[in-house]
Amino acid sequence: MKRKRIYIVPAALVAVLLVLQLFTQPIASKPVTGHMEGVPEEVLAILQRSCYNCHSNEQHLSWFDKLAPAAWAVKKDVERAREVMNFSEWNKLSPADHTGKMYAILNMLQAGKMPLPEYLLLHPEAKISDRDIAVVKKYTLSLSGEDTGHHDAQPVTGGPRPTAPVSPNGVQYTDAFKQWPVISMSTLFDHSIRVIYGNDIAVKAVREENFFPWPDGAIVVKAVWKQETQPNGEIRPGEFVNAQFMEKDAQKYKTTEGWGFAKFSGPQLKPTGKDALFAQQSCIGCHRQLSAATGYLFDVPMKVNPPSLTDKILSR
Amino acid sequence: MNRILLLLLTTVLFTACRQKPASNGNARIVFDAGGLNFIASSLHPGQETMSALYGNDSARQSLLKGGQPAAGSVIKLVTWRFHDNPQYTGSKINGELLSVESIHTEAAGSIAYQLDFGALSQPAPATTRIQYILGYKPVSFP
Repeated sequence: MKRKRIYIVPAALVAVLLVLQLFTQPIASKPVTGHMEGVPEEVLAILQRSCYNCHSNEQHLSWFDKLAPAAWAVKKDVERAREVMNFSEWNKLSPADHTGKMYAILNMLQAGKMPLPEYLLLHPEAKISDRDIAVVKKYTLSLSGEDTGHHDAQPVTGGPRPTAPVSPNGVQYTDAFKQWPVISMSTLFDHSIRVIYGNDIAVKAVREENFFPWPDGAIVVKAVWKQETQPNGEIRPGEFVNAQFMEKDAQKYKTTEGWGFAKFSGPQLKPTGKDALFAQQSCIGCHRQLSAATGYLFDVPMKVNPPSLTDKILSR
Repeated sequence: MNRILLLLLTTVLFTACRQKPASNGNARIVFDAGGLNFIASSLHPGQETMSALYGNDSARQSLLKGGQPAAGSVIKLVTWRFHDNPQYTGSKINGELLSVESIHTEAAGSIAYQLDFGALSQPAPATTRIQYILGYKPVSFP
């Protein structure tokens, strides 16, 4: 009787595992449309070793990756990874986007956000070393010197602007931000210069560090211009590139951590994205991994000034 | 007693993972320009500074046209030290507030200059600063 009991438990586990396999859908097979070109071999080797298993159409999964329930998580990760960046469809991106993606990769590696820690537990060969980061960094920094420009710094030309363009996810452009306080200023590798405005709710949230979560109704707008160098060496904003909106509505934008992303480019303020999925594919990936400490917002003011400073300035 | 202990443990369990901003004694400040709006900005690579220029409508119009500012123009130039952005390699962001300068024009056409806060990286006479500040052009928008 005791012997029977010993066999029942593993047998039941095996049976459950077998049943689970019936509910497992394989990862969708997709063709390779074009690989990276002109990338140093050692950079490519790092990406292939540590990133390709999720961020490509060329998975080489281990047997345990294909076994439910692990297979379900793997499938979800691969689908999300392909949405954000796909090394097998690199040719679908512009040279400017290639540079932008390499900076995103570098930042993810430096922050230790990629490869995902849970992936590394079962795939230690994908671990990134300091030397790997140095190799990727050297190549990435060399790209901005070529002035290919990130997609943000490419002004879009066209006819007259519509009054209130709307992003595919429902975020509406407004000129009101031009009267809002400036939260911070920044530059990016793409030779752009930026000013970040915030509405009253956003400014209050910054001052109180109310980031977890940001209050609904907060809106932050980043205006982007091409850099223009003056004879004295100073850099000033030149041609307008785009205005990037982030508006907080926890219910409306559930799939992007409660933030509605939008980008309105060029003189016509053309909204980015063919459909509402664009923010999941090209925005939240970086914001989620690299700016979680400030509620998924880059460019919040640095915490480097004495708290008394605001009062001192106001008293004058 | 056991119930109190359980309650305490539960409270710790549910609050321990909540993210809290790191406290270093400093604050994240947003410059309050009063009733003035942002007009222009600049970055000085050599001095590692970034500046934002604020003004009223009269100042904006004057800077757009160039020449002497109209009476009643109020302008503030706020200068910050910039740093590599700790959240993103390849980006720079403003950090410590260094100075706040302001100019305003009287009805008679005279221009007054004042250093409201801090110190300039490269001290200069008021006339030089006025000329420099009036050299800014409003940023372009569609």
